[in-house]
Amino acid sequence: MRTTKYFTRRVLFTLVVAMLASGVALAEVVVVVNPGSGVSSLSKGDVKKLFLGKMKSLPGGPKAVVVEQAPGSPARDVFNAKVLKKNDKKLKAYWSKMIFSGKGKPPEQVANDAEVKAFVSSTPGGIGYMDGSAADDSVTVVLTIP
Amino acid sequence: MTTNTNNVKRAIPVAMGLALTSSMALAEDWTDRVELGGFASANFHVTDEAQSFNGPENVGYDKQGSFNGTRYALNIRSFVNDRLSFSGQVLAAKEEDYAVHMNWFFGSLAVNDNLELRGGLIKFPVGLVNEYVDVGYSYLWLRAPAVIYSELGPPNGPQLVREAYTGGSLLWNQSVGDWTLGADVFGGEVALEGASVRKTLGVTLRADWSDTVQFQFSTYEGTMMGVDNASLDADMAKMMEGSEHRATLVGVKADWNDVIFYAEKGHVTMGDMKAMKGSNWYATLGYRLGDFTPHFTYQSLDQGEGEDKQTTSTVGLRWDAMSNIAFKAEFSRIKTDAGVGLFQQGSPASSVNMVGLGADLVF
Repeated sequence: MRTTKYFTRRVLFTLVVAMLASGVALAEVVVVVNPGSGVSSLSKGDVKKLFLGKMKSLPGGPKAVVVEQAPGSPARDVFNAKVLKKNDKKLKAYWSKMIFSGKGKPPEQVANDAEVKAFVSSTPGGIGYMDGSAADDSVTVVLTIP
Repeated sequence: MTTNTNNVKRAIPVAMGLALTSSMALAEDWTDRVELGGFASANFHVTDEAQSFNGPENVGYDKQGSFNGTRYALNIRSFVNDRLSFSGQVLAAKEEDYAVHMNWFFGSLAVNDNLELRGGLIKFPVGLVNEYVDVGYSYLWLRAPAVIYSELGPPNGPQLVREAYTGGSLLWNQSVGDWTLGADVFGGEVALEGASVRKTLGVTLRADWSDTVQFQFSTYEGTMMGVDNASLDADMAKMMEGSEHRATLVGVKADWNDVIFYAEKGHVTMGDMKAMKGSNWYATLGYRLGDFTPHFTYQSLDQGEGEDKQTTSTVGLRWDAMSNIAFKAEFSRIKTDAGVGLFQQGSPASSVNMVGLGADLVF
């Protein structure tokens, strides 16, 4: 009984530490668009469709120009897991179907948050994702992924 | 000949001029407008039966073992502008002695976000995986299930899907909530070995829920013409000539968390031919365990009353070794209850074992 209690405490402690640690490493990921697009919010479903090439324009806005971060970026891992629900291998298989049947092409890829911000703020219809702490007035946050 | 040479001479400066003008008109860097990609698959199959399975010796598999199915392809897509693009794929396969040929190529015009017009040599949009059937990396199996995707000619082959057609299509796509709905109306001509299917007209309807579950329905018909295939006897060739070839397929595919599921059923008729009233189906279940995906597939081939009947059970393993390379191993048991099924004419054993190994990559 005592051992069980001790074990439970240890598990709880570990969980709390893990949660705090992940919270420090990454606050939240936000989806941002070019402020000129006139779009102020997007649903998770629409964002998923835009990033998988199933939707071509921002709802009620211009043609979408999608940008993603390169493999290895922390924001990419969160975005792909929570919005696209695909890891890198699943995503690779998805795009290999689209590319090799002539149906579509994966988004443009940049290295990090700063490059996403530069791309989105200077591209009409631009849409990308980044760590919440990197967003500023040059882009419009349309979705927050906790 | 002289005229030809003159034409060529005249064409060269024109082409150079065009190339210069277009390169100036386009973006500074042509790589902005052209995308390249490729894939390759290496396959090896061996059975314990002398009769070749899924094609004659130079195409199928027998107890000598064979690398048939090994292939290499390059894709190119160039954008003329936001609406107009050209795409093509060159492919070389072991069973064609690696002779490079255009697998497909088409021009595509996006009328708006929902409508697209295509013209060219277009991959046949029937069957869940047919448009990317050569890209082994994109699915679990070594080869897509033969009872639906085999290219083996009549009377043995399923005759459900075709490689590609020359013609045009109108594609429609619409997103509604979590669903993406699509329709592909296509028409043209299919070239087969020793025959062609003219006036082919068909439609494929798709419904995709959140990129998790996909339903697909296809139906098409065409007229068999110029039937002159060495593997057919004269009577059968005569019966096929001018006959109406009809097929209907339904399929469902799911990829939910770590579970992968495929099921397809196809029905075909060719005029009144008794041997071509086939009804085939398969189901696949796979489960991702990290980089490994074990899977099981059951296939059933039924070419009509009193005709060939065959089932195949396959257990397989896909290993995603690197982000763009997968290795595969499969073991199959092929049971022939009537006729020869997908074996070559002869008397194959009623139960045949087959082992397959392969590697797939995309780049």
